[in-house]
Amino acid sequence: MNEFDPEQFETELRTLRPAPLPSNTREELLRRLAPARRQPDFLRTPIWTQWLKWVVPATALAVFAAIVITYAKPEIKPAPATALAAAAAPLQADKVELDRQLVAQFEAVGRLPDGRPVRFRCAQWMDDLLVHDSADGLVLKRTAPRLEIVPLGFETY
Amino acid sequence: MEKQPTDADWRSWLDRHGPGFGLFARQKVHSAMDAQDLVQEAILEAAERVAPALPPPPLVFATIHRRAIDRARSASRRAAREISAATDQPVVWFDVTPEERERAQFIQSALAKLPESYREVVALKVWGDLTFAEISEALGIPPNTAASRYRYGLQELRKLTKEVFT
Repeated sequence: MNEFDPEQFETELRTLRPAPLPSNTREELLRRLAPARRQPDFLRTPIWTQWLKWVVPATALAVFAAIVITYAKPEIKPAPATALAAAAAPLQADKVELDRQLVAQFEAVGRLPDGRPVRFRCAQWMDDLLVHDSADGLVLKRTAPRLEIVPLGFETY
Repeated sequence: MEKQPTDADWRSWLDRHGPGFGLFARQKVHSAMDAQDLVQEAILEAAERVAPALPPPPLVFATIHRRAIDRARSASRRAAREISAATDQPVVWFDVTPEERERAQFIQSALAKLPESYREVVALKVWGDLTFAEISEALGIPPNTAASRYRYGLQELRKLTKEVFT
């Protein structure tokens, strides 16, 4: 090889194969990779991480909203005379409809003070109450949101 | 959602890329033990970052590079490495037949004489199969610098190995 040919030299160098990793290193590596692979998919994916970042403040907000709606006292307005007359007579409900709709459902993971994770299933419902009084020609409708949080259990991952 | 690699996928991935990672790590630290640790840490970190997919080799090379710099900065690690290097047995970097051993050791010793900046680029290009763009990302240098270091490194290596490459 009188004149230097980089490509030919590179090809010659490539004929030497790097030594494989020692078998003990290889096996240890596979063993250490194993716990990561056993984790549930929803915890390992970046999508879940992004979703978790969003769902934690959203859950807190939903809980706060539910508390406010549940405990806030309705504002008392002076009723007009006709309405007062109607209110004086007892309501004779001849048809009552109860309905509920599932608005959203998701799972959230929180951590206990000692660092252990705990998983919750959260469901946001919309409850509807419809009361018919055919005698007085009244239809009362009440819609209220409700948040249901169920702890699913402790997980180790 | 991406398919989770099986144990067989990981084994095959390690068989294919592990030797290149090992050789590159040997260019960055002075003992075989440190190199093995470095490879393990880098693969685990890269695997965690891209889970559940298998990590792309350029990411692992980049992680080895970064972690080697961190190690070099750590005084305690350096002391441990010096102790380890003092007791380290001579290690062959290449997987060779008995007939090729002498030539491989000659090249290994020539490679060890190159400046680290040349040596790492040569190792990544020749035995890591990376492009200059990937090398530039892994080492944090411009692609043109990677290409010129490679050219100079190859020329220097050629000078040092004239006896075996006739």
